[in-house]
Amino acid sequence: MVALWPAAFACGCSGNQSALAPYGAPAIHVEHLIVGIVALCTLIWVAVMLVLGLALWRKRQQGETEIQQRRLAVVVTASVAATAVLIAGMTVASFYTTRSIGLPQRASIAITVRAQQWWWQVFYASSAATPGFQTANEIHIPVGQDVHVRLESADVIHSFWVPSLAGKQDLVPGRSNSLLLRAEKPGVYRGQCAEFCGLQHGHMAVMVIAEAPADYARWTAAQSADAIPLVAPDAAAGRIAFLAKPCAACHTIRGTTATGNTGPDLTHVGSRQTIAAGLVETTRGSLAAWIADPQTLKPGNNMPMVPLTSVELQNISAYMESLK
Amino acid sequence: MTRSAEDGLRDTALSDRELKRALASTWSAQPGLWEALSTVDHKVIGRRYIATAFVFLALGGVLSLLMRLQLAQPEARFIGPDRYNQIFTMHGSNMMFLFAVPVMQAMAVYLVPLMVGTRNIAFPRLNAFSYWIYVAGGLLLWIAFIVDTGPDVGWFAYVPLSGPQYGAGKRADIWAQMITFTELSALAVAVEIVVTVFKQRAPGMSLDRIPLFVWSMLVTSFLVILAMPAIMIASTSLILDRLVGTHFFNPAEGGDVLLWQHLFWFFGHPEVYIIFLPAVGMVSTIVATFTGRPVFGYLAMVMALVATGVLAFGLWVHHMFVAGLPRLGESFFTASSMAIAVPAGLQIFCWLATIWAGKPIFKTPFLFVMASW
Ligand code: HEC
Ligand SMILES: [Cu+2]
Repeated sequence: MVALWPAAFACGCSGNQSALAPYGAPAIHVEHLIVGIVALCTLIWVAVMLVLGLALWRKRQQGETEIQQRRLAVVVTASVAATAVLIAGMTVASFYTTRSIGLPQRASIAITVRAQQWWWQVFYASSAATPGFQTANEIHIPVGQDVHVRLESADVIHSFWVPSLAGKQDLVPGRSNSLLLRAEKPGVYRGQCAEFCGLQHGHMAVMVIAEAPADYARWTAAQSADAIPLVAPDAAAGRIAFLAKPCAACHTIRGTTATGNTGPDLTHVGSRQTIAAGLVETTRGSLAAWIADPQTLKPGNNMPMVPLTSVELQNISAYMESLK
Repeated sequence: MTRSAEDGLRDTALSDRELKRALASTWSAQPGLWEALSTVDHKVIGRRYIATAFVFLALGGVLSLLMRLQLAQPEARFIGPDRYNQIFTMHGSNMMFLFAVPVMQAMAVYLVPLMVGTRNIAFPRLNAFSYWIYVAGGLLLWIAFIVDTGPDVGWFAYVPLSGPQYGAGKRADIWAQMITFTELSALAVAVEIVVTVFKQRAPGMSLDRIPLFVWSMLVTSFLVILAMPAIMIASTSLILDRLVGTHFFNPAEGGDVLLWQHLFWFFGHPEVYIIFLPAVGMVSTIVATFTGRPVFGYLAMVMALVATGVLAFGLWVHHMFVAGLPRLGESFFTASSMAIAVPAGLQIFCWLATIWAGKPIFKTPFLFVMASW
């Protein structure tokens, strides 16, 4: 068992979802603070243990003298004073960490994340280059730039936590919170809802994809466009089926008559790496499995099972996959 | 009634034998079930309280084993999400409200009267009542769980998840009702301890001579008295929102979901010290006993206990650092949270000094204390 521990720690702390593997300025500041405080406290603990060992096993003389008593009193008082000084130091360090993260309101890019049971609705405001658009569960940001994430909730409290990039921040109904998100290195950073929010809280992941500014510009341009017209016959048939079924009442596909707002915007669902908030990778097979029976894959989620024939299912899955 | 000079401390004219008999008939328990159930002897109730708390500890432990089994593999299908949410909510609520606080108070019910030299705790009937109402709260929670109505909103029951709109069924109501039962019981015991310590100490035992465990229970009891009303207000408002249709926590009608968190943690943080301080008192007593020397710095230790108790009420916001409060407020609560390390450190240094100056006897209780470092 003990031999496995290092391995377990290595898995737990590496990868793209760890506060100890920071890739963004806010997370880097926080990591310095964590490591610094833990290291200092470890030193203090070791010192206390040494003194305890000495106290337990030292050679004792007969009787306790006045002078010894007084000496002990001086040592204890000095230790308490030292504690106060160290504590004050750590408090100041924590103030500076918060200060150095800076204010999200100053960032040039603003994104609104509106959490719902159990997925993330994401709005990009319109800019000089692109009109605003909506997407879900996947946030793209340009590397090396501050991004202001406005956090809101449509139902219960959720918490937005992408540990490799920034600290945690709640999404509270009736309020709007702000978070500064920033990545120094391109990559896919996984996040997870960090405030218990009901049945599928465990399946409420979010992906932050940091990419070079040029790639980011290309992505926003593609996302703000309507769904592309179709060529493949099965996808075209799928589109007709989709619009005829209740799907369109809950989902929006820009450029079609589907304008529902209960579920994620599907205009470019095929371009996203995962579906259902990080539950499964996006493939034609996983789309079909999801659409055929969302309640088995993610019990209790807010998408009902819509009865479809197998041909309809195949065509709709092909259509979904084609929505790049 | 006359008093003779030689037995100046006696307040009775009865002879030794008669006195013994009279006292025995007053204080000893009669056999029989009714007597067993209706006893007001703090030793019997204290033992019973401790035993009951350990039963809940074992039950809560089973729940955590179930959770670990489910989590042993990713995406395991051992327990469904609905049951799982009940299990971890039950685990937290059970451990906090049915084990940790009651077991500490139970130790005090048993030990404090003995330590201050009185025959029984103040308000012995209230003491019996507090035990039974605690059992009622525990039974309510566990029976609800067995019939699949266990609370499933976390032991902190954040609104709006626990509110009328998202917490369907009776589950959150059961949770709030259990809170009312156990908090009532905790409040009653706290009042008894305070009165026992202030009013029933043996002659000559001034406040600066009571054992440190008694001091720690005294401070703890004040914490209970000041902290529990916040959670009772919270759980009552929640029940009103759920059953009567008030809007304390409904932002759409001018309510505030963070109000719940403030009320909950104004209780919930002191709760940490309600569990921690008695343990500190135990350590002080054990260290003193097994080094054969009074604790070093008694007065400083008492001040540390009181300081921890006072600071305990100035930290609750550190449970809400990610809720989006103003930064200045967060800084204040960071500083006050850090400050608690000073009295905690003081106590550790005093224990070290006690061990340094004393002669440690390596018996089991002392070994436990050493292992806890
Ligand atoms: C009652 C509203 C509703 C209906 C009807 C509905 N959905 Fe959904 N759908 C949702 C919700 C809510 C989600 C998000 C579920 C989650 O992740 O928790 C979702 C998720 C999805 C996703 C995954 C999107 C992503 O990026 O994660 C796809 C694909 C999808 N629905 C397709 C369909 C199709 C096809 C139909 C019709 C057969 C349909 N939906 C009918 C509400 C609905
Ligand atoms: Cu959530």
